[in-house]
Amino acid sequence: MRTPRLIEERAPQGVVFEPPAARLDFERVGSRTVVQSALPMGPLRLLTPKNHGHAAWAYTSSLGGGFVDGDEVRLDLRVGRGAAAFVSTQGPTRVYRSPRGCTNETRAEVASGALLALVPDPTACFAGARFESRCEVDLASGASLVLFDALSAGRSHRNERWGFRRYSSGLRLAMEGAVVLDETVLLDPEHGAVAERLGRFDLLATLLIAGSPLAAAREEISRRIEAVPVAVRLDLVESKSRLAPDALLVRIAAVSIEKGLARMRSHLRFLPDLLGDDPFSRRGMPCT
Amino acid sequence: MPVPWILLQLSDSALPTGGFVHSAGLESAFQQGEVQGPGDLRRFILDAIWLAGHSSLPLASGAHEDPDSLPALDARADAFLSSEVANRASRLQGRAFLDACARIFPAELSPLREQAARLHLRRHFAPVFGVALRALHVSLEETQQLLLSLAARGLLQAAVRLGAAGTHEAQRLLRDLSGAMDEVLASCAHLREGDLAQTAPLADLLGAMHDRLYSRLFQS
Repeated sequence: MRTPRLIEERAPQGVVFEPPAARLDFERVGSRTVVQSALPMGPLRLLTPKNHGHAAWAYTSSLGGGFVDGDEVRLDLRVGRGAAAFVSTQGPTRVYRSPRGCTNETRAEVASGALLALVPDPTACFAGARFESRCEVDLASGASLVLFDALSAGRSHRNERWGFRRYSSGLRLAMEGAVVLDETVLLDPEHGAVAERLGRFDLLATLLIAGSPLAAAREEISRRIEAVPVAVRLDLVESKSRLAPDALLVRIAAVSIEKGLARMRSHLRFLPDLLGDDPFSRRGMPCT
Repeated sequence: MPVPWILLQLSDSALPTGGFVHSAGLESAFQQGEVQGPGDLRRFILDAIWLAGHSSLPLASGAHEDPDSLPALDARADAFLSSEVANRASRLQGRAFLDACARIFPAELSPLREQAARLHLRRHFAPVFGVALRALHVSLEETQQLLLSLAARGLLQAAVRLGAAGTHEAQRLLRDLSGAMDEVLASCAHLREGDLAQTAPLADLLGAMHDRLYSRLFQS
C-alpha cells in the first residue's frame, strides 16, 4: 500500500499528518533475542532471517527497490531489556527523481542492557532526488548503540555524481534522556555545487558507537584512527569526536564506496562477538 | 542617521576577542592538500559562509530575539556541533568574546557574563554573540551582517597567515564574496534553531582532524 497522499492534502491546517509507522519489536527470551513483532507499513518491507547467534536480525527493503516521489517511510524500533538486534537493509537505499520529495524516519528505543546495531547499506540519491531522513535514538542506562549511516555519490557512471536535488539527514541521540547529539547534514546545490563541495570523495559516512558496554570498542577504534598519520590527499580520511564520556562519533570520507565500507567493517570487527554471528560474512564480506 | 560607531568597533580586528587563533578547519584542509589554489580557497570560504548562515546565524538570531533563550540555545549549539574541534573552538570563541566585551562594555555586558558563569553555560559563540549584541543595542539585521562578515574575514586572515593567499588577494576575495554574502543573508536571515544544518560536512570532517596535524599554527 502506498502512502495515501490525498489524506495528507486534506489534513486540516496546522495538523502535521504522520503516516503510520512500520514496527520492529525485539525481546529477550531466555538467552536469545526474538522478534516480538514485525509490522510492515507503506512501501517498507521487513525480513527477519534466522542466524546462528543469540541476537535477532532484521532487514528492511522497499517495495519497488527504492524511494520514489512522495514516499514517506517511518520505522519504529524497540529493543527490550537485555536484547540484541541487528537491523540493516537488503541493499543500497536508492532514491529516484522526486520533485515532491521522499522522507525516511527512524525512531529507536533501546532498553537497559540492550544493544541495537543499525547498519544500513549506503543511500544513493539519483539525479533530481529530494530526500529527507531523520533518525532518533533513545538509549536507556547501560544500553548500547552501533549506528552507521552513509551517503554515496549516486550513479557516477551516468554522470549523476552528487547530482541530487536535495539531501538532508538528521541524527539525534539521547542517552538516559540527555541529548548528546542533534545534528542535520544538509546538501543542497543552492548553496554551491555539491560535487565541488565533496571534492574527490564518493562516500560520506557516519559511525556512532554509544553506551558504556562498548567502551573497549571505542578505545580500539580511536587507536586505529590515531594510528594513521594525517597526510596529503589520502583515499580515506576520518575524524573522531567524543560526544559524551560514552559516545564516539566517527566520520569517514572515502574516494570509493568499497574503501569506506571496508573501513567501517574493520571498525565493527567487535560486533560479531556481541551478536554471536557475523552478519557481514553472509554477503561474502567478513567483518575483519 | 547616527554613525554606527559600535558596529565599527565590533568589526575591528583590534577588538581582543581571540578569533585569530582559529582557522575554522582551513589549516587542516590546507595541510591535507584539499585546498590548493585560489579557486579552492574561494570555494572553501564560500562553503564556510553558507555554513555560517545555516549553523551560527540561526542561533545568534534566536538569541538576539529572545535573550532568555540563551541557556537552551547554548545547549542546542553543544548538541549540534558534533566535531570535537569545532565544538571546542565555538566555546573558546564565545568565552573570549564575552570576557573581552564585558571588560570593554562593563555596563551592558558584565551582567551577561555573570549570568553565563552562574548557570555554567558552555558559552558557545553564536548564541552569546546574539545576546551580547542585543545588549549593545545593535539591531538583529546588523548582528546578522556582522556575524557573516566576521566569519568570512576570520577565514581570510587565517588564509593569509597560512600562506594560502596574499594580503591583497585576500581582501580582493573578501570584496568578491560580498554578493554571495548578500545571498546567504537573504536565504538564511529567517532561519532559527529548528533549521540548524551542517552544509559543509567534508570541511567539518577535515577540520575535526585538526588535533592530529603534525604541526599547527591554529587551535582549530
